[in-house]
Amino acid sequence: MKGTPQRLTRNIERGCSVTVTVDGHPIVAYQGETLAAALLASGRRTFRHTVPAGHPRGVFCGIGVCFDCLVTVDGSRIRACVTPVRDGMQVSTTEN
Amino acid sequence: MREAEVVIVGGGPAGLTAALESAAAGADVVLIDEYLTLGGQYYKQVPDGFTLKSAKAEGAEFGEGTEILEHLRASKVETLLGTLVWDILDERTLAVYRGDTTERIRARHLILAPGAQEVPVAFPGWTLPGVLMGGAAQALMVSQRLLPGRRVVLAGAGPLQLKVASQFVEAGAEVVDVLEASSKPPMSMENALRAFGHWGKMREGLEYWLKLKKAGAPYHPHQVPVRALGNGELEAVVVAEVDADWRVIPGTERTLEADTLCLSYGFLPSTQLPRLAGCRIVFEAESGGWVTQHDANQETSVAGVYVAGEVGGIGGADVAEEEGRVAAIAALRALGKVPADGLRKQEEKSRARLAEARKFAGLTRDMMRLKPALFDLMTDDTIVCRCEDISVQAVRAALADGEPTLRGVKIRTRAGMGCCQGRMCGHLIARLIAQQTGASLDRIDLDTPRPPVKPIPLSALAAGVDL
Repeated sequence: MKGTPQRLTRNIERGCSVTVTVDGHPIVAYQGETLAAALLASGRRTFRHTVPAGHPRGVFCGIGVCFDCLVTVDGSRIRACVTPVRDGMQVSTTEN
Repeated sequence: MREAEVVIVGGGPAGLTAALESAAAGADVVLIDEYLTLGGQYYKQVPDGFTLKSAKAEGAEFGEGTEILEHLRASKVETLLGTLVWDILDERTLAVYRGDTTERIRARHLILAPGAQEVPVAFPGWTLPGVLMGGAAQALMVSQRLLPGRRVVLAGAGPLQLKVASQFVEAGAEVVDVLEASSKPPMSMENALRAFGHWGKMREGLEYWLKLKKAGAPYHPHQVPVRALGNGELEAVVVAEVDADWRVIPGTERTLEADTLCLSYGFLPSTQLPRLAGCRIVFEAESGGWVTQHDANQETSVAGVYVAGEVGGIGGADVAEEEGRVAAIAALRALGKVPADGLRKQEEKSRARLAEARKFAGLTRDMMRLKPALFDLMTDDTIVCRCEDISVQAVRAALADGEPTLRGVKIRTRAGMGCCQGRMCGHLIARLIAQQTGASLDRIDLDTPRPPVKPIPLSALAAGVDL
């Protein structure tokens, strides 16, 4: 799909795969990946909508400064760009 | 409460050399980093769980980082990763958050090396998913091994974006255009002459340049993105030519189809922690704006508190490493770990390298110096505070309505009250204040940082045993 982020394969071997559930849909991720990378690789570039304006947001600073990539994991708001994936993680991009 | 002779905050180039130097002299050292991997933004590593097929294939910079981190693992430095310093009490006692709880760590000598963040530059559409900063692109490509988009426009000021652009090319993206706001492209004859003698850096720059040429990537000096367009996500970027003062030249707009816009407009020192420690902050336009004042030993206005790296002025990794060493040597002498004139040779070498590195840093900083007209790209509807969705119009109304300060705007609009605590909007609002009042940036005070410097769960505060 046009514009879809893509995992690179040159010179790298990924370890164990894990399953993360995003808004009820399972996606595959790899141990060591950040949640942001896993979400992007699954084709999701919009991680949330602001309240109340409803503007879409995704990865912006990528280093944990801007808090734009907030998603809800097990009830807590976390920064996807600095949070590693865990097998069985339940992620919501719609709770605010 | 635990204590250590030397506590270092930040595991990038500055913090790493400070930690190694301190541990080598027998000091007990705690190195704290908010992230889960050391190296900072410069020595990015692949995460645990990823394996490189060949370390050599990664290039010199990656190799240097790996080597330093191996030294660190072999040393006696105690490293606390995933650990946020969220407050500094009575100058050298740190409140830290890790593993869902908080604790205090007392430093006899404290070296702050928190680095910098990228300068946010706002224009219509800059909040769309697909618009990201150079640091994000690098974290994704170099560390996470993920290409964030396929058709990429890069924009900014200074040579760093050449590096990011060549990383995009290497990762297989189509670089649609590279826009340099400055009228002095990084490869100009003038800059080449000023970089004379800095062969390593010149070669590095040239390699990026050639890689882009080979890929057929266009490069345009004095152009900037003026609008990001897209229905929900980035689809196109409108770019325009600017004059020598970076004012948009009417009638020069063109539209580029792209799914990714990568912005690299330079760096702002992360002064939140030194400010909490009570260190004096001064405005140095040539060093990135508000920086932590320090003496030749890197000691701040607070005795026993040192800074190293970008937090004391933007200078790059080479400067940061030597400043880390100089700070550590000063702390070791004060602790009596080495005689008052000990480590003289290392110090002399370090100071000589520092002087050289600072010369080169001066050159890149000049190229990254942003002209005020860049902030005229903000229109009434442009979002300034990304956390709270506050527009330029709302900020301007607040400025007209009361005290023209960051604090005043925050109280009246909530801009700066969100999760990022003004890290994104603060300097944009300062620019709007400058536009509206004519005040120069050095007259516009930063908002006072409040603990916790980044949000932490209330449950962690409640669980903190010794707070």
